[in-house]
Amino acid sequence: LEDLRIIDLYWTRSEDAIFETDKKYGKYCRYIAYHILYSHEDSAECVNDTYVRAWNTMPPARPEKLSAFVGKITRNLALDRLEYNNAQKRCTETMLVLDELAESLPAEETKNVEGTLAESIVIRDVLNRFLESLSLPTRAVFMRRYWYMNTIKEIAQNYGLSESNVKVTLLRTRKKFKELLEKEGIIL
Amino acid sequence: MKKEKLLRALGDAEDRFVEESSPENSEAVRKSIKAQKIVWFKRSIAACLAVVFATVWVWLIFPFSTTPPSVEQYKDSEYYSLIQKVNELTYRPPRYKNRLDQIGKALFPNKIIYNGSIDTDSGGSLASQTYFETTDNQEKGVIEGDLVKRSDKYIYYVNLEKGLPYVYIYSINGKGSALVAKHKLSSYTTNLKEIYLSSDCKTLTVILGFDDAKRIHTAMYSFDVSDPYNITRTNEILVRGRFVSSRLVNGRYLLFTKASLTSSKVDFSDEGSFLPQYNDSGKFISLPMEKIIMPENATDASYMSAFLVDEQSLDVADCVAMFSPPGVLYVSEKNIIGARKYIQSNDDKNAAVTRQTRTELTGLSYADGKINKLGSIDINGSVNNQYNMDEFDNTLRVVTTTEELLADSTLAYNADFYCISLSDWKIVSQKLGFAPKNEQVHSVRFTDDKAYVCTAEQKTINNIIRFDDPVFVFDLSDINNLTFKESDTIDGYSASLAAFTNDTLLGIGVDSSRNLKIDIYKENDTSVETVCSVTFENMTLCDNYKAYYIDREYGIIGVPTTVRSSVQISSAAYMFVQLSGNKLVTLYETNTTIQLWNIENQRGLYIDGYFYILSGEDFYVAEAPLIY
Repeated sequence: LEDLRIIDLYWTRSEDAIFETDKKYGKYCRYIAYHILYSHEDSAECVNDTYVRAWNTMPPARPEKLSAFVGKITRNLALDRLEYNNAQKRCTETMLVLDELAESLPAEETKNVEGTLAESIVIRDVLNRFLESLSLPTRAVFMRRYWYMNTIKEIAQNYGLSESNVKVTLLRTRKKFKELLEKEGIIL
Repeated sequence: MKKEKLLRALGDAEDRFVEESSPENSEAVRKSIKAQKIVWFKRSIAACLAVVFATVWVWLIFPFSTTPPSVEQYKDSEYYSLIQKVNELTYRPPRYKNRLDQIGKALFPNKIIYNGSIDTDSGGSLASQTYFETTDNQEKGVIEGDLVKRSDKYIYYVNLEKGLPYVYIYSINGKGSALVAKHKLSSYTTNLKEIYLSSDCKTLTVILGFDDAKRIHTAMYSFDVSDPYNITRTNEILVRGRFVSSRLVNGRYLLFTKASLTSSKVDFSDEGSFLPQYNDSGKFISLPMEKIIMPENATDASYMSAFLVDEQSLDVADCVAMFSPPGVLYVSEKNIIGARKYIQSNDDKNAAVTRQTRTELTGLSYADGKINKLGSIDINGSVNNQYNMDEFDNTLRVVTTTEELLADSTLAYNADFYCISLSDWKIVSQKLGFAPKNEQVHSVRFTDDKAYVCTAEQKTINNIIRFDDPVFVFDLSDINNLTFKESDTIDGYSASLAAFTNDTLLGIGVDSSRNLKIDIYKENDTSVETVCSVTFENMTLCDNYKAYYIDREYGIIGVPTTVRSSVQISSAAYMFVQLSGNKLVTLYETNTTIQLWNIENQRGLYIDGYFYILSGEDFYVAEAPLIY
């Protein structure tokens, strides 16, 4: 079914909405969850929670891109689950991703963005401007690494690049991101 | 937990970014990466091409160095001053500004410049009982080498066969004369130069030139020819340089060689590449710096080396080298005079004469077994050959052709006569510009108290080049009062003059049509008159004076020639002419089979009623119908 039809099913409160979502985006959501949690059991639970969250959100939400919508829910839920689990359970790859992201953090003297709402708006704006400024291949590599939490090897294989090429791309992009965050006066 | 916060914040990426990078949309990204790779590849190729092009362009337009290479590393060498001069003179500034200019001119040449050089050969030999001189030596007591020498029993003649030098020994027995023996003198391809026969006729000395890719050498080999059938090599010497000339004086040879230095062959770390050397016991010895004479105004990166060599042992008694050497050598019984021609430009552009030819005369003494510099002097004009100079009674007499480039770009010629004291190298007397306007000296011959000079002017009449000459006779009995007589204008000119029989003067030259011509002149009370002359139609002049046979006792002249048919030279010949009364009579003429380019290697002799002609591998004997 087309995304609009599936969304309509949510709005008409038809239980087929979950069935159709799973049929179309189940694999995708499991992919996202697994790359954060590295546990099939936790991923499956996370995906199930995604459908519940989607059911509760639509209506009133009417997303333009259903895949991104459910993907984001899955990711957030997976991250919540990750926080919930104790530290010993965290997978090595996720730790690596976190460590890499730490390189993008602005220096301490940068002013903090005050307020949770303001913070999230500013960060979202900066992030999207930043992603907008990247070329498609660079942006895709960046997103695959820090949004989908893919390994370097996976990204390289998927895009037909060498691992070193991916690493260099990521390094440069992180540096660029850090500069932008500093320029915008953002500290997390 | 800032990093976790950031990780979570990334979740706020716009949907389109999430969607385009989802694993299901990998193909679009791959295509984009591929397109980006192609762009980068193209940019890389373009950048590489740009770099290559820029490099090639810089390589093409980078200017060639116009300064000689540094020789600082040799500053501790005793030859340093010489090295600096050689470096300066052998350095050839690049013909092109840069490689672009070079390639351009190679592809689109304006003109072809060729600087060639001509190598010359000469030689001689003998053995047995009594020595007879066959060469018309310039100076009494100063024997010149030749291709032929003889005793009373044998004629020794040297010739190259397929590049290898051979000596032919012929018996002297009229019509019964025959080849007695033929010996190979070297197993290597050589240039055959000259031979000498010792006064006891037991030793034949041969001078050979060896050229290899790197260096040129001149060798002297002596052979024991006591037994003509079985000759053996006894001594040898090898020196650097191309053979120039040689003499045999009082048991010592004077051997002159010349070595030209070129930047491509000069290596200052290898003495053999830029210093005069001779071989002693298998090792080449460089001449010490004090034995190298350097003129102040050196113009030519080459040496003339003079080696004084013992006739028997061929040991080097002494040697010197003249840097920027003379082009003409005259050797008297005591001294060597070198004449170095150079051009002197007048810095004053408004002067009547903007450029003139000058000659530096340098004297070396050798009579005491050591070669020492005597002195030098600079005079106007230039000399043709050794016959333009003569030493008599400690005075050097010299005839020069003066050549001046006038302000209107025309050339003016004339002739000067100088008498120079060899004590202080000062001009004692001179006769400047004695020839008719624009005449050049063509030949000179000195006797003790006389000088014969032939001058001529080249004229073009009806598109035909003509020469008209007078002959001058200078009275040198009082050098402080030089007087001369001259002949009327004579057709053609004499390329060689020689005192002849009955106080006459022999002139061998050409007429206006370049036909061989022999003149006999005689001095009378007021002028020089032509006694007789004979012109040989369609025969050409061979200008190697050593190929002439001059017998003053019988008035016989032998000359090699070529015979022309219409415009083509068809065959070689040798002829004998005799002065009989006031007539020149041809006695014998034979066509020879020698290669035309080799006619100057023909020799003729008159011995006891017979003519002997040696021509390459051929030997002719004919009864001489002399007129008495």
